[in-house]
Amino acid sequence: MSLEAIAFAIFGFSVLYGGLAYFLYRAMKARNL
Amino acid sequence: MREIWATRVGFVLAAIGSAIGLGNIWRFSYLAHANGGGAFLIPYFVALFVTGISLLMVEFALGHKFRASAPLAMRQIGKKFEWVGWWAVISAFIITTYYVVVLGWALVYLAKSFTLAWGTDTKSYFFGNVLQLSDSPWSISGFATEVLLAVVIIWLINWFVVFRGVKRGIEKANLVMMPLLWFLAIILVVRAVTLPGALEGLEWYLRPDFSKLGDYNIWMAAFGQIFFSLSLAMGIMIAYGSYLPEKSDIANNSFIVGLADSAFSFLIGFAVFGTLGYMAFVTQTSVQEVVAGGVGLAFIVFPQALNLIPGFPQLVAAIFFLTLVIAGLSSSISLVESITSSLMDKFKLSRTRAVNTVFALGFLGSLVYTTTAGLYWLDIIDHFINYYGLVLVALLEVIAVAWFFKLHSLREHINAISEIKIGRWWNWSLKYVTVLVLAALLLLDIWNNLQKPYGDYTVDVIGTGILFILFGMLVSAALTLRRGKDVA
Repeated sequence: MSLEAIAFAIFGFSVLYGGLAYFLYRAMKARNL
Repeated sequence: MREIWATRVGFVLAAIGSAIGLGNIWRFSYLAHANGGGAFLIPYFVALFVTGISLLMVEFALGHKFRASAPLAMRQIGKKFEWVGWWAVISAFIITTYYVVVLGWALVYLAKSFTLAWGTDTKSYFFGNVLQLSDSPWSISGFATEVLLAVVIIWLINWFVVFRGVKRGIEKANLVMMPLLWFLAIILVVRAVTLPGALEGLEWYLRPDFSKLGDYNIWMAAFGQIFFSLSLAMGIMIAYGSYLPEKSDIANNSFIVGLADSAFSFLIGFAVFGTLGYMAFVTQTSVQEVVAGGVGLAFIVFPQALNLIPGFPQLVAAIFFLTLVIAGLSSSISLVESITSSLMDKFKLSRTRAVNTVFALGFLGSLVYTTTAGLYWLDIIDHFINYYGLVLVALLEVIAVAWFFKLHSLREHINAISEIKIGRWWNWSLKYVTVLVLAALLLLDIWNNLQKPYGDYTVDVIGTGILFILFGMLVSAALTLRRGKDVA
């Protein structure tokens, strides 16, 4: 796998799963999950 | 008394279950591969954050504010807009009639997985043995029996879950199905990426081609994928929003649902392209030669690849088709609920009567697609309903909300109950960007159809498809004009 493809794999996972984790954290912090 | 979700987790999982469907598995990764690989993620993320999540918020907020399913919620915007709500629901009904048939195919393949019954000529098996496809749309010589039986089972599952109601049916089903779906997806990904040649497959999935970013078709593909994937404009998210308790974080829920839908698509792409990479490695071909999307990927190419899996291919095959069935079921249940709740709201029917009506009419409608010419009609109706049902509905819905309603009051409603406050960007996104993108999607399809008839079908077949859509629009008008009970 090329470095470019690896970079975009990391980019995709970071935005989607990082974003998801962030909003789940906000929901849990608000004690409303 | 309107039903409400028992838990926030239950609502979020049901909405994610609705959004994640067959397209997440067989469309997203193929689209990324064909439209710039990793670079496709850039327009895709723009589409997700600018229009996808904004539209999700609109639909959740409409349902929550007006405590009604799509037709009556749209009626609150303006009496003339009730038709838009009904056209969304009728579109959902038409989609359900063929969506359960595709699920039926997946169920047939799930049963066949244990013996890899499709053999080596998977194309002939699919078109000949399973679909028993005739040579033209007008040539119908009975039913594809196995598909018909599978469709009966799928319809009964849908009926049972929706009949049990929001809490005891839809919520409970999704509390089981969604964790199971992600678990199965992770198994498929791990199996795929540990096969020889998988990394070459992933290279074809993710290697960026930035030159494609200048092509407007890539941007249209990204916006279209986000739009079609989020279960928008079918009345589903409005109905699901209407069951939210008074204090509900609409903004945060929209972000979670939108991100989870895309996260699943991105993840399962690793299973798809990892497996295709392995297939190319074993058969000594290029990934480019084996890659496919849609029905061709799931029922022709993937069975070929599954035949080659080392160890216990039957198990991997069963997991793959079970993943398809679960992803599809959670979506079809939401489609049935959208129609059921609309009938309940307007005509004050009991849930039992409403769901029985949807089941009876829906099953009759599905029969067409289980005939030997079913695939042709499915292809035509699917194309036209996607654009002249969903895109048109979304366009009219956004125009109604953003231009004929106090959009700021809807934003204030969301902000009053949400932890995350949305800014003015939301108004701009809906009023201009979303309207422009949806209008462009629609006009582009009209233009393409004028250039060349869809799918190279003959004029009489295309005409029948268009007449069918017009009939659906007329039914929507009739339902709008018909007086409901206690409707202001």
